Amino acid sequence: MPAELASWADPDIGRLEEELAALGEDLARAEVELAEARGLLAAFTRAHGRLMAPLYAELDEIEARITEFCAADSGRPEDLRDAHSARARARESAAAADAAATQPPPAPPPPPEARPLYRMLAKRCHPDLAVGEADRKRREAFMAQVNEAYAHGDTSLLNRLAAEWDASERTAPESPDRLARLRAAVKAARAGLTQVRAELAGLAQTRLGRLLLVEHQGDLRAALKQLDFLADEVRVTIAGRRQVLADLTSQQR
Amino acid sequence: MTSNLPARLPGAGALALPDAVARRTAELTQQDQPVIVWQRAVGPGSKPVVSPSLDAVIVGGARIGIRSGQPVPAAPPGLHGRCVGFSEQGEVRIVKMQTADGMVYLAGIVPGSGEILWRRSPVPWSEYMSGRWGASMSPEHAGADPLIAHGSGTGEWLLELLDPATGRSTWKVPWPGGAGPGKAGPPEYQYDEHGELRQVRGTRDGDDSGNARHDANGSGRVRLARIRDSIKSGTTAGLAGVDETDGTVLWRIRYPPAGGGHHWCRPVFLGSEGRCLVLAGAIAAHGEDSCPAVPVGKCSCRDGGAPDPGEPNICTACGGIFRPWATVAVHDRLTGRRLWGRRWPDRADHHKDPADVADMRGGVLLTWEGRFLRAWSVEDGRQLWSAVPPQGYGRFAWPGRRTASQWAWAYRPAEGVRSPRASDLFIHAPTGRSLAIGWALHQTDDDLVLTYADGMLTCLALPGSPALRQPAPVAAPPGGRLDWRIDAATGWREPKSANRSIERLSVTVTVTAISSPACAGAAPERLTADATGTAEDHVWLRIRPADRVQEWFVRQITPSLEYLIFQQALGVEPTGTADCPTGAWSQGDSREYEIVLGIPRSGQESLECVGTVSVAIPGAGSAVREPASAELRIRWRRD
Repeated sequence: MPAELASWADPDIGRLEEELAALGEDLARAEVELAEARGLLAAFTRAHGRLMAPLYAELDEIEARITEFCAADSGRPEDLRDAHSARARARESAAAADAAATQPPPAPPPPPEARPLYRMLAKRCHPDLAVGEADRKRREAFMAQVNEAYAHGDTSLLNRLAAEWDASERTAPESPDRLARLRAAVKAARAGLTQVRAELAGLAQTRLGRLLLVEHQGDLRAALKQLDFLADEVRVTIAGRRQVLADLTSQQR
Repeated sequence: MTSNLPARLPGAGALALPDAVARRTAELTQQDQPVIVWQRAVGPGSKPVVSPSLDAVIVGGARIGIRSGQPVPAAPPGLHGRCVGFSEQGEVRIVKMQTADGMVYLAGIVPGSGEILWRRSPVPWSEYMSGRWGASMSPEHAGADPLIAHGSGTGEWLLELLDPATGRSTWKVPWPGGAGPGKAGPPEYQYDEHGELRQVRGTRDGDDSGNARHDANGSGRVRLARIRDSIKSGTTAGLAGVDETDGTVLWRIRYPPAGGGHHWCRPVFLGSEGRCLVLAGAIAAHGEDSCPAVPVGKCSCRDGGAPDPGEPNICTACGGIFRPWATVAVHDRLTGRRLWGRRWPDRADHHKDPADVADMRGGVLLTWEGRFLRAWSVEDGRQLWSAVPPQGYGRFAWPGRRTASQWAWAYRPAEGVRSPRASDLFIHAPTGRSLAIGWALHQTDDDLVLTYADGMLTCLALPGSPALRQPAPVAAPPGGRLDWRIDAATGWREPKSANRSIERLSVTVTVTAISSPACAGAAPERLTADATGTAEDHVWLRIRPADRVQEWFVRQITPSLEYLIFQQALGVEPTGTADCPTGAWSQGDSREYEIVLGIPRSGQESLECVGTVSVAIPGAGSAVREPASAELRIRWRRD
């Protein structure tokens, strides 16, 4: 009967739409996590560089002086070669300390109220949820605007973008081969989710990422506290090596 | 709004990490500290001594296992005094053992229980002392079958590969064998007293007979044997590579000849890593390595004779001043050829141990070169790192003895050669990290360090120690399978002769294994053990004589006469404590022992000995419990 035919919907389409929605949720959540991890790591990296790099530079400078002193005393080629290496290392450390001192501060993190808005938008318009190439391009362009608004913490713009996206979705024409496109979209969304998670895992595998995101589970304060502790250890080492240098020079006098 | 923005959040630029700085911080976070494995208060007046078997520390008459921190039985008689343990191959220790009947044997002993697995090659003590019999282990303890060079009793040397479990010979060849003059035979290299190496035998330079027999991965099949000056000599005259399969000599390296003050010029075997063998030594020479006019090791008059230790370092021929130099040389295990070497001036006196300025740990060669401590890749001579430690350090403790460990033990010579010292350093060979650990007494091959300070014995596991990955030692259970009673009949003696200063006193001790009240409701395995009549497998009678006791022995009287220990023949450890293995006991067993003590006459009652029953704790390694003990007092009288 015609009425029954009109109300019939392909059950596969419904299932795929549900799956795509769930993937969108996961993707949005992962994107937010990734964004937060990046922000935290950027702040931690800068703090680490400003705190530790000058200490390493100071330590290496003292090591270079000790080695140069001993090499000058013995005059042996091996000792002079080691002194040369120590000096080169001290220069590298000094350059790293200079670079850390001039590193610009990262952008402030988005306000907490922007987070649900961003997540909601990412869930709807993420490029990895696109049904077809044209849809992907449209989503990429739109997502770029969402990202920028989120990075600046512009909640009013995020609200406007959400309304804009809803309106565009309502007027979007129904695709004739929706089933195939949905299948492709689900596949792309899975791949996108895998990629975001891999990127997040990659951050946790970096040296500082492991310290911040794994050992301290993203607790920036705790990680900075450990940095302070490590800095104290290096200061103790510096004091010890400074004493060695003083002993050497006093012996010469 | 631009449409050219990336789809994901920006921020990658902000993550351009200064990798070198981050790497150093990451290394700092991974620097574990030493972990206390166990601690034990032993009193501030004690003088702990590491046992000759290196598995226990003896303090206040008690033996504490280095790994467990628990009391352990004394080393079995075979490991005492004159019985020199010189190899440990897994579960078996090979010793030269003298027995009460005056014979000397080569024996295989289980270190923990003292069980003698085999004895062989008996010679009378007089022949042993005359130097017609001796034995020398391969310098490597690679965990493989022991390779032993020993005297045949007729003054000839034999080289023998033994099965450690049975003592049977896998093969036996004359040693050193076939070393006639001429160019034929395996390549032979000779070090002179200046540290220079030349080939004195072989068909061509770098004879590859070793390579011909073994592929690149067959390095384990070439075993090392020491060449001795004579059977009795403790000095090593050289090193040889021997085919493990049949004893064929593949190459020889001979050290400078003994005499003429050159003893200390002889290299010592420091260790091996893969195909590389490391020798360390010292030479006395003048000249600078940077000066082509006077090359190192050559006196300008070419006399070259190094002065005797203690003599002025002046060449008697030309008046040139000798300087001591330290050397290391790395040889190929397959061919004997030198791969690379180093030498550097060293101001210190090497007359005692030429190797204490070099050490091998975890495959890394460490050298003290003046104020510099350097690490080298053994395989290719590449420098890994260098450092200038605080002033005064410049020597390694126990160089070359712990090649499997990662941490080298460094000390300040000004604090003395003997440990413990207040400010020793442990240096991680692969990275150069150092830890200040004072009052260290002993270090194991798996990087446990025993310290003694303020009356406290502490066992530390250095970072990365394999011992940390092993299960913790089993704590001593509150009770055993049996209860014990030990009764000592107080001895007495009336001096009969005013001329003798030492009296022999006899004390009878009865040891009984009795039913434990806790036996009711015992576990099924215990009931089974009781039913079979073997309730405790390893029981010792521990004897701690007083310092004044000069000679003594213990024998079982009933149920059968059996000598357990004879101090006069076997000697005892410095504290005098000894454990007499008595085997397995079952419930109701009762045995009598006679302890005979030779003590100076005192004319008053005194405590002469303490006897203790020690029972092995099943599943707790070498740990024991001491369920019963008795004091043996001597009462003198003149009635």
